[in-house]
Amino acid sequence: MIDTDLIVKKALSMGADEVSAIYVESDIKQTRFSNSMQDIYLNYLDSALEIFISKNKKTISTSIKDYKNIDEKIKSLIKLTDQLPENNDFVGLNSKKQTYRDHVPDGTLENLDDLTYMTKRAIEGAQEKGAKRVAGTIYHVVENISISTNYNTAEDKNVSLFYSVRALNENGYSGQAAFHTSDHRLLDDFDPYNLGQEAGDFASLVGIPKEGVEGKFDVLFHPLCFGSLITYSVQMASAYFVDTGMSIFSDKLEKRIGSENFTLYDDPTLESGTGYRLFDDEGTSTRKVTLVENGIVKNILHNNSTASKYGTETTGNAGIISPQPWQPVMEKGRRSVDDIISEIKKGLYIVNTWYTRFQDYRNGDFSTIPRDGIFYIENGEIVESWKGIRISDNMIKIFSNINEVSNETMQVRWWDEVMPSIVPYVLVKDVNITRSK
Amino acid sequence: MDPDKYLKMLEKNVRYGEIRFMKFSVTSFVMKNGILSGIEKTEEEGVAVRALGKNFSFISTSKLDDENIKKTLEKAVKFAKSGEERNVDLSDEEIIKDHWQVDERKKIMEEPFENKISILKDLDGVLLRENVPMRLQSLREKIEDIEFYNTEGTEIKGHKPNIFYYYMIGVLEDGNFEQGSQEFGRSGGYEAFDEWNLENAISDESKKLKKIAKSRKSPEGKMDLVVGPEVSGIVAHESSGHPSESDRILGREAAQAGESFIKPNMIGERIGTEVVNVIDDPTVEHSFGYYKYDFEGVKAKKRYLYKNGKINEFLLNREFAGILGTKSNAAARSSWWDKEPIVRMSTTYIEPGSYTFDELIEDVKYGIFMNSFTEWNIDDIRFNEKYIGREAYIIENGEIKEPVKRPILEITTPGFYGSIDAVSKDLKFFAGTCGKGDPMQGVDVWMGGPYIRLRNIFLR
Repeated sequence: MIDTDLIVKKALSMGADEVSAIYVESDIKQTRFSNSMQDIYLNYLDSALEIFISKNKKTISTSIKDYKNIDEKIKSLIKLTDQLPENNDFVGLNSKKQTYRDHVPDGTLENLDDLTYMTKRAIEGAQEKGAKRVAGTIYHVVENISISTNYNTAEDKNVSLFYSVRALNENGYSGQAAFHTSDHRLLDDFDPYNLGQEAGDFASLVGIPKEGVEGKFDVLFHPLCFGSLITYSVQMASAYFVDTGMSIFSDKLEKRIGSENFTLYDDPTLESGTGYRLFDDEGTSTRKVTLVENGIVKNILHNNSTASKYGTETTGNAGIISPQPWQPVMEKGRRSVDDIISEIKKGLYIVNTWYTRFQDYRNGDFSTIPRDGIFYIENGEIVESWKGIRISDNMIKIFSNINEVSNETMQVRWWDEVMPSIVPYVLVKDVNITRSK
Repeated sequence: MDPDKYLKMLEKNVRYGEIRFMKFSVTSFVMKNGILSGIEKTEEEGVAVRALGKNFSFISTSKLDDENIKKTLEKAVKFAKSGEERNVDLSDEEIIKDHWQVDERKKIMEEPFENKISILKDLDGVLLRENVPMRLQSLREKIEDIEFYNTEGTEIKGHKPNIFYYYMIGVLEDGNFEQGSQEFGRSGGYEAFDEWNLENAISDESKKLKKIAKSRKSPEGKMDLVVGPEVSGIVAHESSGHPSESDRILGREAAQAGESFIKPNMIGERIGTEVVNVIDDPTVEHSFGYYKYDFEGVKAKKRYLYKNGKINEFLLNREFAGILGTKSNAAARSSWWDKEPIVRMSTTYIEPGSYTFDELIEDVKYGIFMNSFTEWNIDDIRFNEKYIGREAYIIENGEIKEPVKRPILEITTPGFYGSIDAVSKDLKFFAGTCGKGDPMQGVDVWMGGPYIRLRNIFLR
C-alpha cells in the first residue's frame, strides 16, 4: 500500500506546485468461454501509482509500478518540467475542500468470485433455450483506490461483476445479453444463468435470418444497442473534445440535439452500476451531471481547468487532461416495451451493434453494424429476422427522432463497445438502413 | 528473477507452462490546437504465467518479488488443473534459444526531450499556416523488452523500440466540415521522422480537405473504382487478415470481435480473381508490428492468406494449429505484459502486381479514384464492409478529374476481391492499432498495398 499523502508532500517539498497522486490496487478475475466451454481462467493482480505534477504552469504525469527509488523518480519528473512549454490549458487542480459520500462496497459481491461455476451456469442457461454454442466472458473486479492532492484526500473500494453471453443457434446465428452490477441483490434477476437464457432466447428467435433491405425504418433499440450509441456519443461530451471542435457537442450548449424524450445524465453516484465513482482524478467529489434535458444540451463534462475556460464549475469528471464520462444514464419513459412494440406498423427491433465509426465527428454522420438479433416488425408483431444491414445515419438526427422511451431500464456493459450504462428501450423514427450491393 | 526455478515448478505440475517477463517504457505527448496538453511517462513491468493442465490459466502480477511470483505460479497451476478437461494439444514447435532486437539509429533514450516537443510544435505551425482550425496531434515512443521461457526449453530475449505519430484535423469551408486523420508507426528510433516527411504530408492533407469540403457529393451508380494503398491496406487487414485468424474461425472470439465467414474446410476456395494475393508478414524490417518470435516463442514467417484469389493459409497460434493438425505460423501476440497471447496480424498487405498507376487509370471510362478513407466498418464475420473515401476524384476517359466528397463503397468481401482486374507495382504501408480480445488488446500493425482497380461496382 502506498501512502498518497506522503507522495504529495514529497513532491511539493521537491518543488512541485500542485500534485495529484492516485494509487490503485486491483484484483481482477476473468473467465472467457466459447463453444460452450471455458477457454481460460485469468487473474490480473496489479497496482499502480499515478502522479500528476504541475510546476510553473508546466504539467506532466507518470504511472509507476516499481516503487523502489520512488523519490528519485519524482525528482526526475519534476526536473523534466524545466524542458516543457507552459500548458496554458491548465489552470490548477480543484482547490475547494471536498465532502465525500459514504460508500460501503458490497461485501457479499466480493465473495461471489467462483467464475468457473458462473460460466457453467451462463452456458446452461443459453443451452436450455436451444443454443448450440455459447460464448462469453465474466469479470469480477475488486479495486482499492486512494487519492491525495494539495487540497483533498479520499479513498474508496469498488467491487463489481459484469458479464456477457453470446448464444449461437444451430444455424450459427446469434443473440447476445450483457449485464453489470455492484450490488449482489440485482443477481436475483440477472444472474449468469438468466442472462444465458436471454441470449439463448434471442438466438432462437433469430432462426435463419433473411437478407435485410434498405430504407427508412422505425427502429426499437434494445438497451444494449442504444447503450452503444450513447457510449460513443457521451465520450464526445468531454470538454476536451468539444474544445477541438470535432464533437457533436461543439457549440451546442443550450441548443437542441434531441427530441423532448431524450434526457441523458452522467451519474457516477448510482451505486448499483460498475461505473460508480466517488471522486475524480483531481479529488473532486463526483455528482450526477445532466448532459441533455428533454433534448437540450445543459452541460458538458469538465475538470477544473476546462470548467475555468468555459466559465463554469467542474462537474467532477477529471481526467486532469481530458474530462471523461463515468456512467451514462438515460431517463426512462412511461410506456412498457410491449406497448411500444404493439404500435410499430413497419419497423425493426435491434439487439446489439458494433463497429460504430464517424465520417464527421462535428455533425455526427456515422454508421454502425447491427448484430445479435435484427427483427422485422409488422403491425406490432415480429414476423422475421434479418441480417446484413447497416445503420448509416446521423447521431443528432437519431436523438432528435426518439419517439418513445420504455419505462424500464437495463444495466448494460459489453466489451469495448458499451461502457457501464443504464439505458431504456428506445424507439427512433425513420432510421436510415443500408446494405452491401 | 530465476526462471529455471519457476519453470521447474510448472514442469512438475502442468503439461505446459510459460513465463513472460516484460518491461515497457512509454512516453506520450498530446498537443491540442497548439498547446502541449498532456505528457505522460510510464514505466511498467510485470510477470505473466500461462499454464496448461486440464485447461489454460493466465495469471499476471506487477509485484516482482520471489514470494509473489511463486504465488502467481501456484495460482496458475491451481486454475490450470481445475474445471473441465479440454484436451488441448499444442502444436509441436522447435525449441529456440535466441536474443533479438530492433536497431535504432536515433535512439529514443538519447533523443533530447525538447526535440520531441519541437516535432509537434513545428507540425502545428505547418497546420496553422494552412489555416486548419481543429488540430489534435499525438506522439508516442515505446520501448518493449521481453524475456520468454517455456517448459519445453525455449528461452528468448527481445528488445523493440518503436515510434508512433497520429494527427486528426478538421477544416470548415463555407460551413462545410471535413475531417482527416492518419497514423504513422515504425519499429526503431527517431529516424522514423526522417522517412515520414510529415510536414509535406499534413500540409498536403490540409489543402486537400479544404478542396473536398467544397466539392460535390460523389455520384451514385455502377462504375469502375481505383483505390489507393491506404484503402487497399485497410481492406487487406479487415477482410483478409481478420477472417483468416484461426481463433475466429474456430469460435474462440465469438462473444466479442466475432467469428469468420471462413470455415476450417475452406482452404483452396476462391475468394477473388487470379490477381489477388494477400500477405501477412511480421518479418518486414522496421515494420510497426515487427517481431522475430511470437509470444509463444515460434519463429515469425511470411504467410500468404489469399493466393491467386484463393483462401490459402490461416493465422495460427499453437492451440489452433494443434486442433487443425498443423504447425503454428507464429501469430500469437500480446499487447501488454499482463495480456494473454492471442492470434493477431502484423503487416498485412495486398501483394503488388505489374501495372503502373497511370495504366490503371487510363483504361477507366468513368469511375472514382478513392485514394484514402474516412469512416469504415465491417461485420463480425468479416463479410459485409463499408469504406467511405476521404480523398477522392472522378475518373473520366482515362483521366483524373475534379475531387468529389465521400464516395461510399458498401460491398461484400468476395464482391470486393472478385471485382479486382488489375494491381499496380507500388507498395505503401500505413500504421494502425488493431483491436481484439477481451480485455481489449490494441496491437501495432502495418497495413498496405498497391493501387488496385475494381470493375463495375456500385458506389453512392
